[in-house]
Amino acid sequence: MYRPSQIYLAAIMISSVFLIDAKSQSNNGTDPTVPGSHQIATAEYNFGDSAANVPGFPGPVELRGSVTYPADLAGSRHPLIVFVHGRHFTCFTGVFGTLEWPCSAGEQMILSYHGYDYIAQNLASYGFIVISISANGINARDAATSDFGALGRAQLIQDHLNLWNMFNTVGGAPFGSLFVGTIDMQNIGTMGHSRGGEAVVRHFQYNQSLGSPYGIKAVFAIAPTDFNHEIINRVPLAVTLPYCDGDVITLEGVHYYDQSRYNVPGDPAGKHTFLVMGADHNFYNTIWTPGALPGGGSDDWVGFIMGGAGDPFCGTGIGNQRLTPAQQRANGLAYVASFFRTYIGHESQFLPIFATGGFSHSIDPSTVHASYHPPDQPPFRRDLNRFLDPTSLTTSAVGGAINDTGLTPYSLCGGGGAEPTPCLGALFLGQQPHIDSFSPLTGGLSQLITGWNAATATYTYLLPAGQRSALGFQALQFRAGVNFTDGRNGGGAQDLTVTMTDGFGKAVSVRVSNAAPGSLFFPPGSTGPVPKSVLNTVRIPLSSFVGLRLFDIRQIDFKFDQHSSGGIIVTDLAFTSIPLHP
Amino acid sequence: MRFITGSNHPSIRCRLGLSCLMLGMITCAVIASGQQRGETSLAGRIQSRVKISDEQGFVHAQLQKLPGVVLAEGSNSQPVGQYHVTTYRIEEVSPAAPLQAEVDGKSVLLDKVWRIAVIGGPFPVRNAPAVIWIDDEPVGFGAESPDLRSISTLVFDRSVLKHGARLALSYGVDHNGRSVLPESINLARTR
Repeated sequence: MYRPSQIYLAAIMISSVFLIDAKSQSNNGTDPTVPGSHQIATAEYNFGDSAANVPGFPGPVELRGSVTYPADLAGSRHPLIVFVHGRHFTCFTGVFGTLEWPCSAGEQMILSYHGYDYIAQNLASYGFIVISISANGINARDAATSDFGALGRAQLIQDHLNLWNMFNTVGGAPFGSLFVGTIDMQNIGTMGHSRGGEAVVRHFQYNQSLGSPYGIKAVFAIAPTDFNHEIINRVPLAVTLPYCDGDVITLEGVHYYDQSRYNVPGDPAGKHTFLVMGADHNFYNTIWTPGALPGGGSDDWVGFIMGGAGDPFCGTGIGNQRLTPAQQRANGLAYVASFFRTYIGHESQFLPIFATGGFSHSIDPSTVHASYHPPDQPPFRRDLNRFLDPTSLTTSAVGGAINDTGLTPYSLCGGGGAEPTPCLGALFLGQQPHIDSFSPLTGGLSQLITGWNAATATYTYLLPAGQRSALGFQALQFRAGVNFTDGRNGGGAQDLTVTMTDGFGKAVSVRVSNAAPGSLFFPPGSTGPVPKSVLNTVRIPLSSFVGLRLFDIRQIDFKFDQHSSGGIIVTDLAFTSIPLHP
Repeated sequence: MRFITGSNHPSIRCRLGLSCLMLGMITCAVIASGQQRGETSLAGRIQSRVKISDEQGFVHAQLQKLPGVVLAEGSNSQPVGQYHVTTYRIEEVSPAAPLQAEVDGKSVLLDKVWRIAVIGGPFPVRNAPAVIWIDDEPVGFGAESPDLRSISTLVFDRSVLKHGARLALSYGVDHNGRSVLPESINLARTR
């Protein structure tokens, strides 16, 4: 598979392995940015600019990457994490980037795969072996392919896994026997950024198509493209959505969550999205960040959005809410590291944080609005309304009647077919990520669009016999967003009251703003693709309903009594629990 | 329009009399307003109507490299718009062998294609796809030259090349984000 000449080349080009003191700090276990206890080491491997086995791809592709690993490899098999970067310049000369591959004489290669070293080092300090692969050859030619290189990147990931399977079994240059018997090839997590984000989704399918030779147990996509509308199930999935993304302005990675959530009955895998306010596309990769190299780095919001610098939220003027590169890396580190420690490392402390909206600002300085879709298993989720068809306007998923008073409009949108799509009419590309895409999406997220003109409006669920106990569940949750095109909101945040009534006639009310502060925010910004309509989970702990008999809930009322008028968008209403063990 | 031009050889005669069809990265999709939705976007028409066995892009890669006969080109040298576009070039390219395509289930052979290059830059390398427009119609996804001084797309329908029309570049089918070339297409020599 790997010719001697290639291995010889790799042996020559390997950089020296060196140890990094991880400076393990006091860690109560809930701050994923604090390094773990392992000393770490890092090394390069490079079999050449055209050595990768990417069948059918119309150009040479390198087989090159880095590995970051715990220095004390002996004693157990370590889980493997694979990182793959997205589309960027491949080479540079002076201050100019190019798209050559291989780089021409006088050009230097841009090492995009080193852009996530800050995450790799953290994960290695917790015992993970992390490889980050170079995909410049794909970037140079993917514009010629009909899938924008998705299959090629997936094949490249698989080629690296084949390589590491060899290192793990019989060894080979440039590492000799260093990694023999050290890797658990059935416990692998993949993380991709941008087109690399689509690549890890595509790779999950590709690996399956080959009979699942490797165990892909978790998939994380940062600001991914969704050119090909793949849907993956039965694997924990997380998608980061940078609110101020100036490149993938569509935030179309949210489709991976939307399209998979009811796709497979009994799906045991949780799904997450993290809408990161103030984040752009590039700063998650240090090499793509301005200043890392003379050429190629950029602030994509300012560079690609006409008038973007002047946006009050995403721009660069006084009072802007943009994250600095360091702040954005803190966000990336916190979420990627904790996600893999949860779903690959089987630690349980982070799941509640994912579901409820984020780490403390001392850990992650950004504001994150999260969505969490628990496994489709009875202990974790009982759907009250999926909002998938017109029946859902009058009858809940558990069979009870739904009544509305004073709501207008009161209809479904966004799902395609008979539903008005998109939900919010004519807006700029990127303002409605649940349907916006760089390539066609026949139907997006089906949503209830509604509003009210008086504080007496209500939306009521009557729970039928046999469906009245919420014992064992932790929360009532729904996904929602404030409709920024609805003038009744007055440009401000919204609030409402949720009242549940039990069989003894006891009614207990909870204000959303108390139980889930900030969840019904008014989307900020005023330039190009912002404001955006992205729905996020509003999670109301059942413990907030003090005194309510949870074994006999007869009625749930959503009372729009906190503002005299408004308009919101809603979907995915359910009783839920967070699994104790991922 | 004709799918086949420039040959009387029976093996490469057009077998389908449809109009306004394009191949590969081409569509006749008209985006009705300045707003673009996925379901009406460029690739939607492409994927729903035209099938070409070129998923890995070998044909497109080859056609991008073949020498062509210049039909029209501009001369502006002043960068315009956000992406610093300057001028354009339109070439007629003859494949080494006729290209087989399937449109609405019917077989089509092509012996000519047209390559449109928007020149300027240096252009960015983005994860959003480059899109080339003729007036208000997105006509193809663009492929950057290695030096990032041009972005080109292939057109398989001669009729989309309109004398007097304006070329533009965007990323994604983003009408409002376009950089529009200052020169109109001049096909006077070839009409």
